[in-house]
Amino acid sequence: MRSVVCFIIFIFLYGCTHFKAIEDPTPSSIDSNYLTGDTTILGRYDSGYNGITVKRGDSTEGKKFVIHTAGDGELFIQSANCGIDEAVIYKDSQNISLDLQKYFGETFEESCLINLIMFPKFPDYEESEYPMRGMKSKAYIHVIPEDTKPAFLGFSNGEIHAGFSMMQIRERLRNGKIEPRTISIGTDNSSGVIFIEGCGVSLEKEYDHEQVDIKLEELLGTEYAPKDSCIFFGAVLKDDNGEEDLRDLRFAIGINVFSYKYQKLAVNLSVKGTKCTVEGSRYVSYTFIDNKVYNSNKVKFKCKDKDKTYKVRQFTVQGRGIVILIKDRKIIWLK
Amino acid sequence: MAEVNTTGKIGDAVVGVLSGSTAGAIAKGVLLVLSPIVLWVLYKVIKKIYRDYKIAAARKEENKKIKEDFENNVIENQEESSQVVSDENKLEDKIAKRKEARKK
Repeated sequence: MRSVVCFIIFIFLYGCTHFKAIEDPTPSSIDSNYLTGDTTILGRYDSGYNGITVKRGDSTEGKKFVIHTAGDGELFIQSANCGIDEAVIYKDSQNISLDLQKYFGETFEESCLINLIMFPKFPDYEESEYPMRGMKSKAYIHVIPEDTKPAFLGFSNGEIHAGFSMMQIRERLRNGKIEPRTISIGTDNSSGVIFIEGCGVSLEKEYDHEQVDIKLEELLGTEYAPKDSCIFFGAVLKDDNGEEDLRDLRFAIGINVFSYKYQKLAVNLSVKGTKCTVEGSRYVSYTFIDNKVYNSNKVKFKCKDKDKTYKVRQFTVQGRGIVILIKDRKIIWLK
Repeated sequence: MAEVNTTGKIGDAVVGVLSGSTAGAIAKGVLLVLSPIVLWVLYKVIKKIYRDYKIAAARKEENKKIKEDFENNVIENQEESSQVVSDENKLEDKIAKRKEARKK
């Protein structure tokens, strides 16, 4: 009789601790060319696509590229430009930090595109009936000549970046229309010409004391697909018109096009007293609150500390992911 | 002298009871209790075999995809890296030409 009771308790406990992955019937992030996975490059944090502009000759001392992993797994970091070819086995959501001096030398001289691919081994993944797909992300270190400055880039969603900016856009909207995005290029209130070059596209625009607006279709055409993902390089050449600072401006715009079939994850935050509850898609198998993993799409946690930023990440078995930063019981960033 | 066939009658009765309706009832009862258990165990065994098969298939598919995704990622980086270098150089050439023209 005692052994039967022990067996029942064992089964109960096993059932409680065993992680169960949930099927995600939607297309995977990798097959859809959607970038996911968060990184910090020279202090700039982003998810999916990250990048920064530096000047040629800037010191690389202490400059890091950090990859924020989730759970356990394998990570591959590659760059043909700057000779990075690293394979890392990570554990417990550790941060993988690369010292850029190792790859660039003492100073930044050439631009560098870094591709990352992560194959997570979430808890009890061996028992899952569904294949776990990986996650891709990219980072770009944009090196501009030392006698130039980064141009300011403004986007229709209100974001402003200096030098390098990146975006992920859906290949086509369901109604057949393209995303109505405009990129505004700051010109320091000068006059002159703007050159843009990338993936077979060459643009030249004269300007006169105004910012220059570029429509997305001017860069990608109207029939763009994931294969049209590209980095567009630009220069603002100021004419000698009495301006004090006549340094040319440089910029680069990284555009990643993903499949229209890809479904981005969404999440809802509800707050009751000092408890926060995040609830995501029903296809989410794993939720990370900071580095603690839960086998659910809905997790309640204490968010008492108003000054602390809580990082919530959710993943499906198809490598679809979302990152949310919560501060003072509000979502302050989501991607 | 007593008749010996009395024992025989009792023995016949016992045998009759056991080989008759009571034995059948017991056997039926046992079968009735056991058959759902046997079926349940059989169902569980088949379910486990099927699940193990699905898990093995998932791991096989996963490994195949990992290999493909990894290789595609390497190729993608090589192609994009050379595209990036070429586009940056094109821009620098254009800028140099423009500056040269402006000097003249």
